[in-house]
Amino acid sequence: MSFTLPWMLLGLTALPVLAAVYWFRSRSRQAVVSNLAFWTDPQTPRQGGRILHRMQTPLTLLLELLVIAALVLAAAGPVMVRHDLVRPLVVVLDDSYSMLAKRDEKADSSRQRAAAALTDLLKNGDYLARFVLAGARPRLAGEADHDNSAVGLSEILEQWICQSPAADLSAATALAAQVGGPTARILVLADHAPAAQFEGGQVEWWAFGEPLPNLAFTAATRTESGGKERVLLEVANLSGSATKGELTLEGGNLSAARTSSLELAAGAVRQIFLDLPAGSSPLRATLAPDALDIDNHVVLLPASTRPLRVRIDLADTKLRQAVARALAATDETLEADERPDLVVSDGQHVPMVDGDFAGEVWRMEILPAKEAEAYVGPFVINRNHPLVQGLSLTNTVWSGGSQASLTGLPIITAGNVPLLTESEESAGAPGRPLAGYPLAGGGARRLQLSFAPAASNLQDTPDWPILFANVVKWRRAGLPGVRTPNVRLGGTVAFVPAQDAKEIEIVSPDKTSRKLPVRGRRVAVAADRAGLYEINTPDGKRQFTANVLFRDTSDLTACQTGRWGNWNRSPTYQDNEFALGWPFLLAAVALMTGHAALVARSSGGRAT
Amino acid sequence: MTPSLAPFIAEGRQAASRYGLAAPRRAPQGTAGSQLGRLAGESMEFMDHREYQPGDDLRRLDWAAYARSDKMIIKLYRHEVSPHVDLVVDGSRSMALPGTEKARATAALAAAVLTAADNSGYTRRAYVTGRGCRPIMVDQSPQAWHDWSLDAVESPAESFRSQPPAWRRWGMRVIVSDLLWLGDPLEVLLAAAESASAVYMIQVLAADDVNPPHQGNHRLVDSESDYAEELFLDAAAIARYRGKFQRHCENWQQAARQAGAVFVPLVAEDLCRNWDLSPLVEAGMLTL
Repeated sequence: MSFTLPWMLLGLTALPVLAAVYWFRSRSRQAVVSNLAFWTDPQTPRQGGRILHRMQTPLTLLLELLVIAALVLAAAGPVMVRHDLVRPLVVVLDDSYSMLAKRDEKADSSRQRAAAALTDLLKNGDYLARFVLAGARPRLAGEADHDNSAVGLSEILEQWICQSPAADLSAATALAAQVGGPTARILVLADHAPAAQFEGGQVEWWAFGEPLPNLAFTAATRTESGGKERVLLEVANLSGSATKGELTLEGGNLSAARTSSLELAAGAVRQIFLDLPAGSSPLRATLAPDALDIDNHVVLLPASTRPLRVRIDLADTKLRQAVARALAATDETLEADERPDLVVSDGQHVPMVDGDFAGEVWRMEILPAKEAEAYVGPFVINRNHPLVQGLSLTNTVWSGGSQASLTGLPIITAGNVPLLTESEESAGAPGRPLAGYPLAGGGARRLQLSFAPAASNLQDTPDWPILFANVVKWRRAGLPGVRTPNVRLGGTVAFVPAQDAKEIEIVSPDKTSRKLPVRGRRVAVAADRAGLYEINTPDGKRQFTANVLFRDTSDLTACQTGRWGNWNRSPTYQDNEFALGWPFLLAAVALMTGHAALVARSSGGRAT
Repeated sequence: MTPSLAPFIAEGRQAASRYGLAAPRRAPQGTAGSQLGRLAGESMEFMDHREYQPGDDLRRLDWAAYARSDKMIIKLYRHEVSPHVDLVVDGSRSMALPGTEKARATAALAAAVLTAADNSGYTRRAYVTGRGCRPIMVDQSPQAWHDWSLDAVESPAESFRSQPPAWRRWGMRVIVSDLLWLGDPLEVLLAAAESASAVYMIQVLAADDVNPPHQGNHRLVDSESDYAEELFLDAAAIARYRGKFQRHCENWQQAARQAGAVFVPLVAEDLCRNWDLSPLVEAGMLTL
């Protein structure tokens, strides 16, 4: 038997109160009188010695106690659950890393407390439970056994690792409602209160968090500039009071571990800058242990340093200077004739490249237009293409060929005249356009530009360096290796393996490994755990790191413990339960009637 | 146990130091006394003149006045009495009701009556009820009054039946009691009024006797028999008590009128508050 309004049972505290009132009222006070005959029946014979009529416990007290108990039980809404029905339940598990917070080393984390409560619920109820993991994006985590056995449940809970940078509980709850349907109960296990009350009684929200102070990294970058690397670390005091802490730095060509003390006011943020020689070893930064350990560690790997090698084969001197200037402005290129990554030519002849490396050369051909016409717009720009990001072509005079002489997919056109096209360049099939636009990796690309610089002002507008910056960025994304070795938890790392790699091996921070197939010379690795990852390929080992840098999730001040919502309030679930309030109410009425009759029969001045 | 009465006796003596007993309304006959009575009598002290009435002693004719006025004028002389007071104190336990001032008031009143008697030149004798009316020694020293206490279980009526006081004829008789025993009041009153010059019934009640306990459960214990009974006192029960109590007191007042006695009710707590004996003065028992 359960209760719809269990807090009504607090009314049972009236029982001892009533008993105490009776006891105080019925307690006899002794009084010696001059002559007892004035108080009693004069016919009563006087007797010597002490004769005492003990007071009897009044029946009215018993009746009143029973009336109160029956009324309280009726008000609490007792219901009897039908155990012959299995109730569908969808459990939404908050997978954000804040669930790992705990008061001290010996205490249980919010996740552990929530798991224990969930285990009890499933053990004591006939539920058919399905699970939704609420990370940055919700996903289904499976279904427990029909008997909710410990083994089946533990397999589900093993997936609940709480390594997501955030939990979209609204989306997860919506997914749970979609998965479970209108008759399923939804249970949300989190560490904070819901943003709003739930209507309809389908959702119960159990929170197991605690408002704890926390010192956390909220930003960490490592960039290369001017032949050296610069590190930025940002530490935030996410509490309502001043906090002292320690910051330890290791690696990064530091001679020894360096520990410094931090003293931050409530809500304050401290930024630490550090200069390292270019190509230094990984830098590890650690904060002293506190309520949440996961955000106390940062590993910063050296940034990718190889510049993009560009070979410029342009006969037009002015055009060559304009291209070289635009490429130099990106600060990521190196003009080199040997082993180029990108060849910018005028298309008069195909430049020769060396051996196996020829397959990775991207070509940008600036074709001198025959019978050029100057176009001032409007230009049709394929905004989905990475080459045109930031381009406006406002007040631009672009002089190009009047005929469709370019091959490949048009990116910029003036009416029906293509001015910039793009295609995949592969051996034996040059100029084949792609259906999509790979952001990184893939085969070599061929860009064609119909452009007559003498009758154009494009090279003098801001769009000119933007266009080449886009070209460089796109090409760099296709270079082998890890483009961004330092990502935030939950991010995706794009990895371009060697050309002949069929699959790669990913070793996660928890030392588990998995193999991923290589398709289109690009592998996207999700950094779903915090720490250092290894990518093993036939041509060597690469690393990237996922750091926990989320101020909102690390802020535990809003965490709390409580329960919101009540399934029993929903009429949807009434079919599974028998209401037992009416029998208690009828019993109370009968008892009150008996009490009234008893009181009416009694008279004042009675010997008790 | 009755508390020591000595301090109360001292209080009564002090309270009555400026009072005396009034002369009895009915003088004793045939005796020459040491005090002048309220009526005309045989003493040598002139009191008044009045016209002769048949039956007057011709020896009292004022012949000088007859010679001057030709009227027969009688000379009146003060009545000379030898007054005596008999004091009976109710010695039952109810006179020492715990938690009340009854014992204090009773002892003090007894001392006050005797002191006033001394102040007025009365001879006096005192009795305390119990197994009969037992005389107590009441000389001038309060310490000598220790031989009596308020712990008897018999009512005064039973004491009067078993051993009445040795009343002196035509003496004043004062009875100090709460009069709260059941029985015919005339049995005691007639015995006290026989051949008495005056009878005073001083009823000493406790405030709790007049105003009974509050509502609720009470375990009432009879002060004399220790009989105990647990009662739930509500308004009806208290009203019944008040009715019985009032009827009982009215019976005593009516019986006192029939026997020619003066009934003086007192509340012990009120009396002990300021020792105001004016009710006894108003009753004609004491005089300043």
